[in-house]
Amino acid sequence: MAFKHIHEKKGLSLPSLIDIIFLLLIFFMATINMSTVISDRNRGIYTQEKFNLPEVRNRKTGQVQKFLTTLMLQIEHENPQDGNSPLVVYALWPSQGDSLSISQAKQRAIVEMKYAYLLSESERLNDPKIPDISPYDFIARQINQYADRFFRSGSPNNYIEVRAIQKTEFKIINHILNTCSALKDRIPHIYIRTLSGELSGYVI
Amino acid sequence: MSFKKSTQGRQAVELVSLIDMIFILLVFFLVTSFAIKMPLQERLLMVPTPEKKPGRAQIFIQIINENEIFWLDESANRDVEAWDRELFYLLGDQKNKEIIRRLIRTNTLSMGDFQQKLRDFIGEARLNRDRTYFSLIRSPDDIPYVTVMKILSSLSQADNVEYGCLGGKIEDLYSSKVTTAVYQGKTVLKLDF
Repeated sequence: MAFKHIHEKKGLSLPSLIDIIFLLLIFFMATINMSTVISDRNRGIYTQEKFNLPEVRNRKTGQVQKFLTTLMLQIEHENPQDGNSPLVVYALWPSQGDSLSISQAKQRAIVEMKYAYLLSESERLNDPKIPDISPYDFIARQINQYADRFFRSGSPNNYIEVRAIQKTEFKIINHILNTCSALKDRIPHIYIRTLSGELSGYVI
Repeated sequence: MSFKKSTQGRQAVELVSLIDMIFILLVFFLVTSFAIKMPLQERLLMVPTPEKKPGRAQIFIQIINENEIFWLDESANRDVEAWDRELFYLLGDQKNKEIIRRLIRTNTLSMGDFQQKLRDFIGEARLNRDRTYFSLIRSPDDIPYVTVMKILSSLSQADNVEYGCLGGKIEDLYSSKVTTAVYQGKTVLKLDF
């Protein structure tokens, strides 16, 4: 007696195959993006979501380096999560031996007491916990010390960076500009950190 | 007599396809939410340090407060010349004060008008690429620096516009001296403050 052979077609159907390939592709895309953002956050580079920088739309802007390459004056609240805490200016010095991220340089500045509170003189004197250093003197001293060490002669490549939250008053920026200006061509320009936003700025 | 219930018309969604679809939607939302966050990257905007010597500027922008801006450009030359003739009866210092008062009154713009003027200026600079423009921005101390940054960022959109900024209040202008002078065959305004 002969039996019929049942030939079962074994193989992947085309729609399922496409489904699987698309899923794999999208999963890889998503995981690559996530891992980049998370690893950058861990290294303290990708902190702009927390840092309230001015959003500007511009073309003539430079790329930021992953690590500090020059003196950076960072102005933010003492407690970044509390908008009412006093403003502090940190002098973030780059490291000569190893590369320092912003958060690492900030930790070092705290340890080395390279910071000053942006308060009026009376406010500073009334609070015994706050060191009696004028923020203007502190900024000038840090810029002059850095220039004496690294910018002994004038060069168009000499610059310092400023990273300040939006509510920082112009007088601080003006003081930084004037301090650099007093050094003549040793610091011909400064770079101010911004966030590139597509819809901000005045010209569209 | 009983009839069999027909199940042929019932259309069920297949579980495997449903899971596939849900996963694809989920992953697409994840990817797009990351894509939206990506443009917010830190960038550097160059600001030249001021030089302590007299300079020339085609555009002088004085921030008065967060809603008003004083804009001075070449078009003010004719007005100053006309006022100079009109106020012949006033003595030197009085005449100077009156010209400055009129200059500030006629050239103070609301933020909306200022933005329009800035757009026109950038448009003009882009059309005249062979010319170099210099604009000076002056801001009072207590203004958030973000206001100045927005103006600088707008000016930086034209390659042939150079800019600089320094601190100062509109009140300084009242005590300044305004004169007209001829420079390279053109009448220019001289403001000493």
